[in-house]
Amino acid sequence: MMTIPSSPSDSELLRRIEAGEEDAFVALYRQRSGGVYRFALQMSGSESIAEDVTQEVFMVLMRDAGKFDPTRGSLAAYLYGIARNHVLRMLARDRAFVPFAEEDGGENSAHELITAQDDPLGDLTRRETIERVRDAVLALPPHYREVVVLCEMHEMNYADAAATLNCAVGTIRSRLHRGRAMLIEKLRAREEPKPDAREIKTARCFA
Amino acid sequence: MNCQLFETVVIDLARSSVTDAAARESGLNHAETCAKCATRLAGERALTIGLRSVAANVETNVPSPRLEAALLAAFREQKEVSAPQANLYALTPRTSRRQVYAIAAAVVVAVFVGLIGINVLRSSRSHHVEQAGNAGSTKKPLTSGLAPESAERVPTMQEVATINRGDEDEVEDRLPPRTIRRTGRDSSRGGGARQSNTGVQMLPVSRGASANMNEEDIGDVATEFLPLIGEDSFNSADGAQVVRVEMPRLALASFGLPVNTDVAGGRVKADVVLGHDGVARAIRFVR
Repeated sequence: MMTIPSSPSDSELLRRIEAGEEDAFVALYRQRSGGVYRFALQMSGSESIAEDVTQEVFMVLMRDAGKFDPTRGSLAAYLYGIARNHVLRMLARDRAFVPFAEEDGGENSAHELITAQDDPLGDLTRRETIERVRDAVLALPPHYREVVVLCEMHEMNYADAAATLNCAVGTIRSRLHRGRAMLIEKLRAREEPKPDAREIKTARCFA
Repeated sequence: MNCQLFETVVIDLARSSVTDAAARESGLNHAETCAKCATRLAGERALTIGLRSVAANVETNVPSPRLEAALLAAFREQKEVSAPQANLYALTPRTSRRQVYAIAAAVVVAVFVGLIGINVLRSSRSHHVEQAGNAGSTKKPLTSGLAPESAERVPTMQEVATINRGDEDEVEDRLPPRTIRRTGRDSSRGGGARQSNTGVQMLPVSRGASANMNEEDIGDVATEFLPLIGEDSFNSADGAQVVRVEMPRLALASFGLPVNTDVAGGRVKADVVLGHDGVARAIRFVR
């Protein structure tokens, strides 16, 4: 009978990382870095920030692997929590700066659709839709954005999201509800044609 | 289900995350009958699809390989740095324990050697005193006019009577200085000095025999005892005891001793022999 080697648990990997085993660190990094990176990317819209955040998260894990408490949540929630704090810090820091044009180009390249090449119009439509949703998400206030990213894009359950953001499950539900409503409003506003600037506006006459 | 209740489950319906099958069925049934709620559910489903499309769009996005390489380098560096520390932490307690054991052993040995030394010193001194006492009793009989070596032994009247009255210094000159061995309770245990009504300060009583000697006691120099009352009365003083007192130097004059006027205001020490009735029988001056 064939036995399938089971992958080591998070706790086992963390224990081995604490012991200085490089293989364990590599294994954990390859398991978790993609999610952390994408979360940071969806939160910030910037690849450079996402890379910085990912690096910070795993540096923290490298230094203080023993700080993770499995009774308070999953390792993913723990890592996302660290990433979220770094993202918010970097967004606050970079708020005063204007992004370079190259970064926009980079973002576009990062968000290229992986689709069949035989339907260019369909791809274009889909790409435009994704861009619109992505921009709408990035335009959300951070408190709503992080819940939408975690629960919708990373399909995290409410309990893990609550552990990640260090708040109650009810708060997650209400923020998700409000965030989705805001997204729908934004997307509908883009779909609806803007009123003509030359349209005659009525005004109350006070004379 | 009404529209208000539908609003509470519409997001979960759109996300297909309703765990209660009955609530899900009820919500979907309501959406079929209510156009407004159906539109609302369709909008939420579209949003869910859009969000998941965005997520799928970046699904292949991963950090660059150089980030992994940099983190690995940092991990190795930290490992190298922490390894000597770990060895240090592992060795330090052992080293400390060894040092503690060595210090403790040295202290024990030092205390043991010290105790042995003290015992040897004490035994040699006792031997010396015993030898001196034996020599005094054989070579210097009590009637020879010399005071007994031991202060706890109350001198007889014959001893006291043989003392020539005169200057204290002259007495000291004539008689070889002797070491007084005051035994028994020390000053601290005797309650300290007491001041009598006559200005005589009562120092701790020295009575009884003991082998213990204080170093400060060894250095005292005394005259012979001077009788204060009749010889017969003194002989009957079997339960007498010696009391160390301090008195004004002028009191020397009352014993017919000259007083140095330069230090007349000072005080002198004296040993007073008290009978069992509390009456002073004899006195000697101590320096």
